[in-house]
Amino acid sequence: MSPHAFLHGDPGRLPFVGHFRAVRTIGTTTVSVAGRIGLRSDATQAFRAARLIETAIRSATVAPGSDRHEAMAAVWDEIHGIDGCDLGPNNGDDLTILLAAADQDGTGISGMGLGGVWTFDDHQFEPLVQGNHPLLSGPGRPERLAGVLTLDKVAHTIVAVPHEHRTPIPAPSDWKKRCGVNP
Amino acid sequence: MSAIADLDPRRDLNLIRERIERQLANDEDPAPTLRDLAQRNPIALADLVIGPRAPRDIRWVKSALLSIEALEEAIAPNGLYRQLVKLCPTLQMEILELGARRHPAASWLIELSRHIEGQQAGVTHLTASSGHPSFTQNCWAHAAAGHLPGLITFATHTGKAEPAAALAAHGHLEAAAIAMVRAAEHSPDAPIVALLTAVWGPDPTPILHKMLPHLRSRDAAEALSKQCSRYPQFSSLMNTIIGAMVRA
Repeated sequence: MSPHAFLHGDPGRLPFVGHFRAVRTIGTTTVSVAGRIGLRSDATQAFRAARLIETAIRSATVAPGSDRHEAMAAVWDEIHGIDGCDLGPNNGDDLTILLAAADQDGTGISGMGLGGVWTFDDHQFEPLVQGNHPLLSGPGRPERLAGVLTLDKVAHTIVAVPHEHRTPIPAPSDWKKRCGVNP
Repeated sequence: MSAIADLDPRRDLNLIRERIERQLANDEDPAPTLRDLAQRNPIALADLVIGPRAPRDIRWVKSALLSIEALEEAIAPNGLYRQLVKLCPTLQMEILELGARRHPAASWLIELSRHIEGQQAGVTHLTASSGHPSFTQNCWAHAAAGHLPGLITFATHTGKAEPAAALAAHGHLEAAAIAMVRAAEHSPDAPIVALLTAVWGPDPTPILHKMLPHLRSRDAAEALSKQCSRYPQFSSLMNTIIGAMVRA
């Protein structure tokens, strides 16, 4: 079962400025990515940067037979390779991103700029990490991701909130709307 | 010349009313009298314009609109404009325009717009507030009130992207799609898809598809296609449609 990554929107009338979401699948390995770029830039600039990241994710060079770690690293390399000047006024230093990768052996989660990460099992949200876990880091585009959290069980839906949100646990009733997931 | 210069507005209200009515009956311009009253006693003026015994004459109300600042000193704008419309429906558009210009962020304009403009509710208010910081908020408020045709008309006439975004934010997807196309017909470079995405979420293709039956200009279709170029499947579909369109 492939994981699906989602990022919570921001408060206000334009909750999804600079939000992106894309999936890269090679064979039995899938990397699902959700994030946000250019929060402080105007909607047009942030839109361009977000679409650029989606294109980078979808076109990442993932070799056939890659496991989830290799696939995730390939996707990150592609994002890291984008010229900073194409990513808004902060050159990509404001990147918030959640990556969920799965292969036959399991699921791994990584990211930047996240304030909380949960899995959802169609009934309730369970926190994946708490406290000072490395997954809950500041935003940006370091050369290498901080680390990968390996899940004990299969997770279909993974929801994160950006680091600056004082967001409570996502609500089962409206998390889709809050993540910009529409029918 | 004021017909009430010798009277005291606090004491002689009935006399003042009689003289104004006489002026109106004699087809004299009531404006100087009204200005005099506005300067000396805005509360008396308000009583003589929207009070229960106010003269029911369009010339009087029209003149009163020129002293709107004094009237607003005496009566809260919400009640004032509603009452002016009630007293003089003939001037309702003028009154709405004045209220929207003076109070672009006022929430009571939503209901007043509906009352006056009906199906086209919102056009006057949004036109008056398009350069004001409250503009986006006003688009949202009219969308929340269900003023779909008004928002589409405004998008058609101005090419602004906010009406479509507001409609999408409130779940009026068909209307949002129409507003997007009409805005692109007017202003091909307006950031229509970018704003829609900021409101709706990173994948706007369900709404983008709804635009297709409403495309009638190849230039607008090309502009929208350019904005959707990073949505490869939809972009490809758009290019096929554009290929079949005749340039006007």
